[in-house]
Amino acid sequence: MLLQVKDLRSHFFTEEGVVKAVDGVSFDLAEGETLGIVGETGCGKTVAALSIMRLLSSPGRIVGGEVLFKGEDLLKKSDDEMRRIRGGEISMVFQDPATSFNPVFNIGDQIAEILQVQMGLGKRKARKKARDMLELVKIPKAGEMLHQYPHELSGGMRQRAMIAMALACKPDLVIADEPTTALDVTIQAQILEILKELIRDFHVSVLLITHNLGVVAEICDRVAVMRRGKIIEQGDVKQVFNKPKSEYTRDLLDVVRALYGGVE
Amino acid sequence: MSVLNYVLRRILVMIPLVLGISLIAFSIIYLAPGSPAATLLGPKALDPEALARVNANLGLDKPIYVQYYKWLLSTARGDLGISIGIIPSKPVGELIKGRILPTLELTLSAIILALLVAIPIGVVSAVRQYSAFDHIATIGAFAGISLPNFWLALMLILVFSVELGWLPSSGLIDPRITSPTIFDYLRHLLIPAFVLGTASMAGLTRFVRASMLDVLRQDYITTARAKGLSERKVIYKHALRNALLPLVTILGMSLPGLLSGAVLVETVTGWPGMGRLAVNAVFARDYPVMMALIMIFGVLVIIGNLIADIVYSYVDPRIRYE
Amino acid sequence: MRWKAFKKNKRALFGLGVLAVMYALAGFTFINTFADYHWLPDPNDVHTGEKFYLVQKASPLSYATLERLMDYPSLQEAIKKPGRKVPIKNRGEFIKLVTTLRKMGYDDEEPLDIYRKVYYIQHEEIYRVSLISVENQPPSIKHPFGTDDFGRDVLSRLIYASRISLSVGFVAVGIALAIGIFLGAISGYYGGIVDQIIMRIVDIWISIPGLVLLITMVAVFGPGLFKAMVLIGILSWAGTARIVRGQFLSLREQGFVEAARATGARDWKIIFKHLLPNAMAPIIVDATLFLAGAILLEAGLSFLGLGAQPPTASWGNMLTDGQKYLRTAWWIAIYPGLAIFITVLSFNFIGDGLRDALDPRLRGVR
Repeated sequence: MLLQVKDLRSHFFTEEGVVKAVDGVSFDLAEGETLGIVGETGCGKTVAALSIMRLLSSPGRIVGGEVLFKGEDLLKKSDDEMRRIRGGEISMVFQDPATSFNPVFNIGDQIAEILQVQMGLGKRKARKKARDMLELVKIPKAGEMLHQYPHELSGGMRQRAMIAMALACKPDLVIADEPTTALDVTIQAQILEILKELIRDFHVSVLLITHNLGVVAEICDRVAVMRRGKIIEQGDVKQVFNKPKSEYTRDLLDVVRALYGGVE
Repeated sequence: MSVLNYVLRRILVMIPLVLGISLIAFSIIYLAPGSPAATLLGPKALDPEALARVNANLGLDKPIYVQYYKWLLSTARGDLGISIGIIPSKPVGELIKGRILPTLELTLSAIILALLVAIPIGVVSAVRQYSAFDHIATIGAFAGISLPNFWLALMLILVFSVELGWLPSSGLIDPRITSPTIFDYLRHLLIPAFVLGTASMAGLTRFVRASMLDVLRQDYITTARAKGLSERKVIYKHALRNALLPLVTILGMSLPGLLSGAVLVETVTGWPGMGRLAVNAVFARDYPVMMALIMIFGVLVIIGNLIADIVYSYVDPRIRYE
Repeated sequence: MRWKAFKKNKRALFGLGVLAVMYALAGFTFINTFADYHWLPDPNDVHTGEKFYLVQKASPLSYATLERLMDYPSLQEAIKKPGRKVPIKNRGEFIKLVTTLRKMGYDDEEPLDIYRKVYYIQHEEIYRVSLISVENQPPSIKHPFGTDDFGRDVLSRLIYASRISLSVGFVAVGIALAIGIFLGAISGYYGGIVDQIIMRIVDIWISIPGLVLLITMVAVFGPGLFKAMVLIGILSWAGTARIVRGQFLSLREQGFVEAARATGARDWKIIFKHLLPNAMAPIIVDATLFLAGAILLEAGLSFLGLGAQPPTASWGNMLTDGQKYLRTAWWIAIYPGLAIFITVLSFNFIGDGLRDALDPRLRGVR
């Protein structure tokens, strides 16, 4: 079992009171598996993802639970240890590629950076590897993109670059937070295809956060449904979708069926 | 090529601004008490020869827009008139020439000092928001913008010159030394530059802090952390560059304030620059000098802003590659 | 308006407190005038200081002799102790000496903080007698802030001067607000060419360093406190105009204008009854901060001699004297500047507190 989250709790301490964004979340993720965390906006899924990476910043704080990664509790690790894990063993793909890349550095530098820091590669080697990664995500003229700045790229290209960056150090786990939400519908399909291929080729486990059940159906092996900080149902994708145990899940599925005429 | 394009467009915008400033300077001829001739010539207005020359130059008997046009032309050519108060009969251009550099040196030094203080303090303030350091720095910033700069100059002179004798109390260099050294110059520069820089220091500190706080909230900072970068790298490599970008523009906008401050600071510390000249001109009712100074000050500000814009377009990739 | 947030802002409260005290003190000065109860010495009262002889051996290039040395007992004493400052005990002696000096041709135009040199020959030795009159008295119990070169109590002058420095800012702000709001409103409401033109004018206006233009205008229109404040107001409308315009533009985007037009209101009414009240928040903040700046400008002008004219005391022109006597009477320079500093600081604190309370999103640079 690669990742075991047990009773994770993260709260936000604001002037108006305490918000229990993640209130006792537990799930498992096996090696090579793709788990989807699904729920409406505001249910706490992004907070859960950030908590696992320990990237949660004030006024948010992890208040309880365990996050066992390869058997070790991430919540007990030191800052230095976490830094080595981030990017190298667990990496993240963010929702909005427009704002997730630093606007003042070019793509090549930003991808090379993670290779230099995590794998100790020299500058030239890192850039070459960066180029290889870009080619892997099917970017035409990868060499050119190395020199381009984020604002010069389209949404789809940017997200591919982000995926390339996330996979550069061959992590064991990739957390993807709404990777297609900010993109055009047509581009979404392309990105999903690329993701599927890479997941297969790289043998990564993926924690996919989304509110889009269609995406879950496309890519995920298992799914967990989250609502108001708690997981109310989880299991095999086919099972959950065909025989949902909770009413909430059923309602979700109904909405999707009504809009799109069925899931798989 | 887009950079050149950008620069040309900025220059085009400059032109109406310069014209506007020239209008204001020109209007002084008519706002001042007495006849326009008196304003430009002073007591020599009674001299028929001088009067005739001014008439030829400006056509005081012709309609206003012609006068303005002629005045503009002669100013552009470098003929800024004749001083009527400070050193009568001396061409204004010569009077001002020697003063521009000291003022520029003073202003530049003030900016450099301000940046040296504001950037580190602003960054630390932002990174340690709400800490004791932050609170003290914020109060310091408030103090900096509330201090009357001429009073600060007096206090510093009192402490460092009168009481301790470490620093000279006025002037550019020690007139008794035959071969002035850089060190002597710097000793004289210290108090004026520090005083002039104080208000900027304060304002820039708050600005850097705010900009840094803004940047630290951005998504790409989370991305940087997710890549496993050390916090030091996140702040000083990823955040800082973004936070400092708008600084260039802010510096440009602070120029008018700086030059205004220079007037008082130069007067109190005896620094022989344009600011001091302006005050002398006012007391001598030397209108030609005042008009010329308005033009030059205004043009300096505009050029300064232009330089800031060019630097900014070079430094922000979003503009460079557009 | 988030009053709670404002009340929590410690700095703003401090500023408010300080200003309350200052305005109260300034207000109480009127008791002096009307109720005839002098809790504070009159600012124009002269409290003469001590006078000293200082006798030193000298080799003069020219000299004048004092006859009838016995008329000056303290001087006789001083001659016995060369190099030491000997106080003049009898005011009559001092007056007689001054009269004699005048008859000898030493003119007494300035206040008495001057050195007078009188040479006296005795026993073929020549002595230089210096008459030192120290009107500038350092702080003492009687005069907590000391006296200036006219012997006037600095503390009382400071408080009387506060009446000017604390009130003139409002004149300037009023004028700047009037012009700024008017032009900013038109610019924001009508847009188009009008907006372009006004914004160009604003750009031109702020490109000339304020103080330079200000002193030039003072040269043109003459010095004087009220004129100065009017000029400051006229020169400072640009910032307010920008803010008002910005507010109006955003209000337009939010559909305020269309909604008002739907009720059939005419342009003026829309501007004043619908748009302006919603735009007041940043205007108030701006006004407060500008008030702080206006006080600094007035002080600067008066310091240069272009604002308040003596004998009217303003903190600025008290500092002019302060500069003159920096070496010998430092207290004249410290306190007026300190007063300006604390006042401006208080207004800045309040303005910042208002900005946080009215709209925490308003983080900008004026």
